[in-house]
Amino acid sequence: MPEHSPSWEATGDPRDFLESGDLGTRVEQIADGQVAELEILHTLDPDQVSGVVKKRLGLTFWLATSWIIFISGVAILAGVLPFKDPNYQNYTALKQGPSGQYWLGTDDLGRDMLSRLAHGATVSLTVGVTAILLGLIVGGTVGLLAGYFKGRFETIAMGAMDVLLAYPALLLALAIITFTEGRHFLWFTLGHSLVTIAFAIGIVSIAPIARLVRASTLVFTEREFVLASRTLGASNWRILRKEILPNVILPVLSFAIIGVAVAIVAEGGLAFLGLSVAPPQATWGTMINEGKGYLATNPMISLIPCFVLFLTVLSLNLAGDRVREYFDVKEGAL
Amino acid sequence: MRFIRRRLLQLAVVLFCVTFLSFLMLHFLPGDTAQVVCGISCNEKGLEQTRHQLGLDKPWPVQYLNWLGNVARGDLGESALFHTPVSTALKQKMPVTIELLIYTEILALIMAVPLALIAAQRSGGVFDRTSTTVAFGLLSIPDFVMGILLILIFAVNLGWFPVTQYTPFLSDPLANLHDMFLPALTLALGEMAVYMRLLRTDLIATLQEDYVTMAKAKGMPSRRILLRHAFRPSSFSLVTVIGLDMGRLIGGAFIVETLFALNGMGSYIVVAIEERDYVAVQAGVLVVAVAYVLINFVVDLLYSVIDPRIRHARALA
Repeated sequence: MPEHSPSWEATGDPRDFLESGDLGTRVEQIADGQVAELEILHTLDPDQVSGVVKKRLGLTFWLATSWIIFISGVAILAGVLPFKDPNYQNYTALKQGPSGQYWLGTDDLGRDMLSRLAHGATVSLTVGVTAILLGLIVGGTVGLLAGYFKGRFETIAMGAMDVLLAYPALLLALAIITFTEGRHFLWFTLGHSLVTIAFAIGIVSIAPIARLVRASTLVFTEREFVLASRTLGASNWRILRKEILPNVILPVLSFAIIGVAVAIVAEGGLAFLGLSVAPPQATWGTMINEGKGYLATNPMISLIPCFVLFLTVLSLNLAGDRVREYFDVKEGAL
Repeated sequence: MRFIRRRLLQLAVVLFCVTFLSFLMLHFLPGDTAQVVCGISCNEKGLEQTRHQLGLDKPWPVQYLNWLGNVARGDLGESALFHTPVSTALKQKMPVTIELLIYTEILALIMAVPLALIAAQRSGGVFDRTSTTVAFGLLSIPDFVMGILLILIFAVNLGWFPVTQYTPFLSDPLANLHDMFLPALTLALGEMAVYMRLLRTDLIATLQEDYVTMAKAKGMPSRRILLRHAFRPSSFSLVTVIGLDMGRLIGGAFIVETLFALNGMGSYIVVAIEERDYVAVQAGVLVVAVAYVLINFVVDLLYSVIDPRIRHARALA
């Protein structure tokens, strides 16, 4: 296409092209409906333009999201939907395979697997989401303030985070659950309850979130628009809320989605060690743990919750990863 | 030197906080601490003795220092369940856990390094895309699910490995490595995925460097470039991550030891929690946390030793 060859190609600097005024006429032509011109424009800078046009979340993202929505729906409606009683033990139907009566079979005590999976989803997702919300609120605030105000507050706050990080995550959660049993926190009695588990995993998630938020806050605090806002007389509170928070929240969002997956795995691990919500309450980890004694004869008792857990974790990881890529704005491309 | 001194100071502060928090743990429990320490089946005389032993009548900074002194001398208290010193039990269990962790790291690196090298050589190729996808999938399999799957495949169906059998390393090293293979592999597969992804990314970045182009221009074979020129500068963040990931691995060891009935620190702490043997739990938590802090400290120092660029950048700063 010799007649459309852009004039700046000789120097390779797009500014020459802009200054020549050529872009203005091109844009007018496009506005007039000459779509072909748009394509020529695309050829000017293939990297940049195709990057903008092609940015899609992709099929895997939507598949993952569908599964997350489905399992969340089941988790929320587990008590309402016509599932069987998850704790009813039918001694005439122990360790059965799938059938018309029990769609996914029964476990070693003759309980309906499908119903237990659904109620387990409630526990897993409640713990996962609550824990990460706690981590986001506390860790996010600490990180934001530390990154913005710096100074002594930053040293102390980040030092505290280092101490939290000094414990391996599972060990810290174990210790919190063990040593707060019977204590009262706000209006809850701690112990092997949903609240304690979410609380323990939430505390563990504070430090990594605080670090992440602080790191991106540090970057954005140095940017020109913050300086501009400050010059215009904006208060610290306003700058934090209007300028920094909206920028910081995007990377944190993708981290939080993956964080929910990590929290669900952590709950599963605690349940597997027999330290999550007290039985007979069904959780995925407990189901896997209860089924592990029958791997030789009835592997499905363990494998079905394993598979559901895997799918959920994979979906959350995929969704989080795609969201991160989607919002990952390369500074160089701007 | 200034860098090392700063890191040492930081280490001291973190160690102080970790030991202090671990010390406080017993006091977090509601009710009489002496009762908690002595156990449920404790009489009045035992209570009095425990109270005196712990110095519960003294102010708590004194209690902490006394406790820390005992810990430093290797006295971690007495198990309420077995009435034996906790330190003896931990000394017995520690080698199992340490071996499990080392075995895991070796397996993970043996798998991850070649895979990353092959993948990075043709980034975007079929092998690269497949291995990256598989690694992503592996990362989504929790340790306990992986353990169950491996038991099902290799122990139940194929019968290649035992599930709950442990031969001490010193009595028969080969049998020990065979028995420990499944537990180590359970943890190693997840680790491998982390290491492979990281090393692959770093290798691809290093291969864009000018000196690699120059080596290529000089006609050096690409395998030699990959191994001699690109591998070492790409392995630095791998070393850090090996340290950082140790925390995840220790958590995994708790689960794997319970699943495979290995008599290590993890299963010891889990059993102690179930039996409400709080002194044992406290000691276990303390030992694991301090070990984790020290590992990360060493890794951090090691990082600047193997990467001269970091050392000089920090010296200049």
